Amino acid sequence: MFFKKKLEDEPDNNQREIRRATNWFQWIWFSPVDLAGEFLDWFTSWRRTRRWLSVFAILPVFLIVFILGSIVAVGKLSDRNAKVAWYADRANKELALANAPKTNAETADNAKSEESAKRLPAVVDMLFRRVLQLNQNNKTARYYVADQMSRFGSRGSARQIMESLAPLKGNGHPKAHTWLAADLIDRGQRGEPINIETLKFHLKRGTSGDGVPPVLLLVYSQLLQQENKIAESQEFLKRAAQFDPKLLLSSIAVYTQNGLPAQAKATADLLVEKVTDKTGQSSEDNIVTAAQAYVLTNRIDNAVEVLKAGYKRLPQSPQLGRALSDAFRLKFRASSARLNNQVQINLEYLDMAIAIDPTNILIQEELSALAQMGISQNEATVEALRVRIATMGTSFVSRLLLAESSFRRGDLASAINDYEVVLAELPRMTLALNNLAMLYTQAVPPGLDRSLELIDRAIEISPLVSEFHDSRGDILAALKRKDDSVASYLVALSSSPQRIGTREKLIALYEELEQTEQAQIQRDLLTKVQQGLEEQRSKTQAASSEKKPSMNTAEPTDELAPVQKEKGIVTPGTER
Amino acid sequence: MNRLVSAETSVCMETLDTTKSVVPRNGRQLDSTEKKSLRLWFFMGLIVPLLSMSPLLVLQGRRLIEQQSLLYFPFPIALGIWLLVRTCDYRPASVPRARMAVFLVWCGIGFSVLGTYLYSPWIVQFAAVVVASAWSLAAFGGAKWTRIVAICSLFAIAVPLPSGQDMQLNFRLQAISISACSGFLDAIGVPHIVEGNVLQIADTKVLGSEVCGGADSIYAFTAIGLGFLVWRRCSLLAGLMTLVSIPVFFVFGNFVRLLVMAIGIEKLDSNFMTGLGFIAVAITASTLSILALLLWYVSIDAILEPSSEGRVQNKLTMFYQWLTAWPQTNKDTLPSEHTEAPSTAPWKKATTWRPSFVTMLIPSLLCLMVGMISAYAVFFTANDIVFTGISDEKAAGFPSQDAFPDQFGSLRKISFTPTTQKSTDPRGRYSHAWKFDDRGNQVFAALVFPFARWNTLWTGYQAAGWKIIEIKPVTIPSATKKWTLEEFKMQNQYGLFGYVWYAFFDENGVPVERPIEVNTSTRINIFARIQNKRPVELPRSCCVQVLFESGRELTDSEIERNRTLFIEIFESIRQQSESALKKAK
Repeated sequence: MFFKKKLEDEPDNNQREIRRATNWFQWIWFSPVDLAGEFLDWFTSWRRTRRWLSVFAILPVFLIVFILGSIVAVGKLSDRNAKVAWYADRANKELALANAPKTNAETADNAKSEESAKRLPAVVDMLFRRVLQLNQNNKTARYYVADQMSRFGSRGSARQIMESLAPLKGNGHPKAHTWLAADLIDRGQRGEPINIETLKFHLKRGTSGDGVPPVLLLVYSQLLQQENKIAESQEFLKRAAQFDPKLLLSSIAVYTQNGLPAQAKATADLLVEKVTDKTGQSSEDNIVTAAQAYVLTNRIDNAVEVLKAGYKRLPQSPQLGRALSDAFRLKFRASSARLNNQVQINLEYLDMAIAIDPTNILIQEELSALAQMGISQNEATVEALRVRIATMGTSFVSRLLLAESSFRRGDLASAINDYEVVLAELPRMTLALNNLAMLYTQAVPPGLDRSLELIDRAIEISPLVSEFHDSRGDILAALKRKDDSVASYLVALSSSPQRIGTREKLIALYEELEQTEQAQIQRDLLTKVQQGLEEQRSKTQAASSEKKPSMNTAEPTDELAPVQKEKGIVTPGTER
Repeated sequence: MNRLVSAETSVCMETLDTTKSVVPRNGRQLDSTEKKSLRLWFFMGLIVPLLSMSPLLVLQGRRLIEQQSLLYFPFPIALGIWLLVRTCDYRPASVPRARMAVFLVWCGIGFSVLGTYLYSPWIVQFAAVVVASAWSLAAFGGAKWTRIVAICSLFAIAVPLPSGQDMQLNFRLQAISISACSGFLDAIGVPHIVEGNVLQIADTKVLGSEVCGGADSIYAFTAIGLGFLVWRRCSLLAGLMTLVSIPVFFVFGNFVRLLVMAIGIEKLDSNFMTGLGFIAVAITASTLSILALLLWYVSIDAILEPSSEGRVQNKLTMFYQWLTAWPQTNKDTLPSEHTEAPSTAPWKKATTWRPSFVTMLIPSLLCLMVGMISAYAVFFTANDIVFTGISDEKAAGFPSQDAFPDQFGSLRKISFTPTTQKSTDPRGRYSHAWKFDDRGNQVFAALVFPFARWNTLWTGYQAAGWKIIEIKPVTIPSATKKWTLEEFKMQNQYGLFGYVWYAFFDENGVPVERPIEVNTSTRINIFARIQNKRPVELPRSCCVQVLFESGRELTDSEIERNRTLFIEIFESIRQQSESALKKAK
């Protein structure tokens, strides 16, 4: 109908066309020849009447889309395995770059290196995740992705993935075994129950490859040592020492404990050689390590010599000062000798220890030992101490022992005087500051303000010593500043939760403040701590009864670890 | 065709000066009856219905402006009005067409009544489009109905797709752009990764929703294309082919943007994701895609141009001519004096329509009544469909840092993170999230509020690259009232499993029984609102969700245990929220 009308409107059309167009039957059942003819006519007309410039206007767009589309198609259709290989290669390169030691130029450009340090793990993570997207069975990628998950807190999920990579039966991915071993050690340190056999299994599988963290080698060597596999244990210790020569200290300790002094000495000499700079410019850490090696092999004089040389070169180093002070403490202990039922001891070494590092809280242990020997109770020895002061001029040990003696006799004024004299010479002697502060609380009338001032000074010098916070809590309690006192006790307990006395004082204080809930919490904690200490004591007793007789070594390895001691492990011999 | 259109345009320009009063573009003066008819139709067919809808239209307009992707909506409407006024003859239509228009106006009014009753601004907006189109059909009787429909499609483009389909369409197009960009980067050797709609290059993440969303969304792009086609009086075939190509060029533009950003990050060490760089790249990419669309149109138009040769008039040619010219005919493209002759078509022989005041009175009265009710409901009873949300001050009263002890069952609290969304959309504006450690596995618990209804949460996880494996609603029997939680299991591309439990409680602190009940309860009709005599707000709900991550599939007993743990967390948060909910009322 439409076409009929259309054609009627156009007077120039011939009648045949009109007739044909109006015949719908013919329109539907077209003859192919007619159709071809009509198509040709249409096409010719269409071609003639085109504005070709406009038609081809799309060509630049087509060209761009075609080029971009082709590149996209190349990327999309490229071989998946080739992509996996490329990404894995790239990831490994980035990983090597991330783990590579920094060059001098990089170290100099701190900002850039920090930025790079932040960027690299993210890039490595991204690359391995892509590898995993492309190939779900790539174990290395799965390992790194799981490792990254654990860094972001999904440790449990990472563990489950690692367990699938390193099953307890058969050989798994070595790095996954290493990761699981490290995880077990970490959990063990946090008090979770762990299966030692599983740990051994993962350590055995994990330590077979390269790039094993030295701490794992160290743990494995210790486990082997427990099984009396000394040779294998030493092998792993030496591997660990390749990363960090300081780990040879453990090796020396193993030799010493197993009655192999020659091997211990040889290893110590090797360690000293490794850490000693021929030009005499060794770092503080290396000097202390060398000294520790000497101490472990019972050569304290050598240790003192090395430390003295270092301290002379670096007199401002607190680490060297503390190490030298500790070395003199050990020398003081070693100087003890029995003669005709009398103990002879060289106090000069302890004086040296105090003079070099007046903040060394471990000196209290030696003073307590001397007090226990009765040196400050015997009139003769007290007189001898006075004579010593008179002849030598300055003797800190003598003064401190005299103060102790006066205190025992109830002569607080003399004791205070002795401590004041010591502090006049050594204003940074924290031990004297603490003891003097406590003496002032007992004086009549109590000098609580002076006492608080002294303890605050001690805390300012050594803020991490829990003993001083405990003393501060006592002083504040005496000043009726109970809330502040609670805060001080809590600070003391935060670094030394095993301080039973402090916790008992805290409980009493909470009860005075009618904070029963807090008091109950502390009471529960106290019970736990006491149980823990009891268990530890029984374990130690059991271990000491099983322990083999060992050669006479000077002291355990942590004697010369001032940094750790400063971090709150320090517990002076006496606790109020 | 362009030449013909140009000729016509010049004719239009010539007649512009004479159309200042009511002289139509064909030059024929309207008689007084026609003027009266048109005036009556204008007031009763357009102004009265639109006025009656205006209260809810104002609400809808506010909603549209709040959505960044629909921010453009006044522009196509303005363009449509401008095209109607400038290019169509304002004169009464033929009777059949006018009858159809009246029928459509009635339909529009019907929709408007329904929308008002349901208090649905979206339905009212749709009704307004129907009414405006129907009115135009009868008022611009000098223009072809196809032209009117084409112009009115510009009004329709401002109506968002229902049920969030527009968001899903945007999401899919973003995914295509990102996938294409990924292929390109693979080909040129730029290491990258795609997780959901996030493209990561080195340590920088490019979010598809940020790069490919916003004011230059697919809808804005379609509106531009449609406006151009209507303005050019494009044939239906060429127009459809151009419209169909719009998503392609939209994807092309986004692809270019993503590519420039990716190459900027990897090769040039430049970040085009913020500041001026971002704007410059956005403008360049949008210009490129619009230019490409324009060239496509020019080319398609030239290819599908009707043949101007009159001598070949076989059937195929005629069919082609019709196909490529429709809805225009040669008659349309000739100067106006040729169209003066009265049409011989049977349906055009009837006299032009004269709207009767009486026939228009009933719908007008209905409109006025509806308008008054809706105006009263919207402006005088403070009944607002817009979700009012919860103020920052009151939100702070909801469970936060201390809601859980350091040890909650087997969970060890690690951190607490409160977040306030920047978006003005009040649904889920606040998030109070706790991170726990459950024997090495991370557990995330979150209270997200306020929601206007039950919301499904898995779409967000899908966008982050998770694949949803199983979704299961679980009805929890309770002493007072049973309620529903939904749990879903998912897995990411790296083998990590995620188990999510979530449930809602309403503003009275009562757990919500089933999603559908919340949905229906949000539809409060207008009379109920007025009867309430107080501000009616959509019932606010709070969502508690817990995500458990695991490196392996959990066993049934572990799932059961975690479900129990979720219920404990849900109950704990719900009970602690009660006082805050009371204050927020």
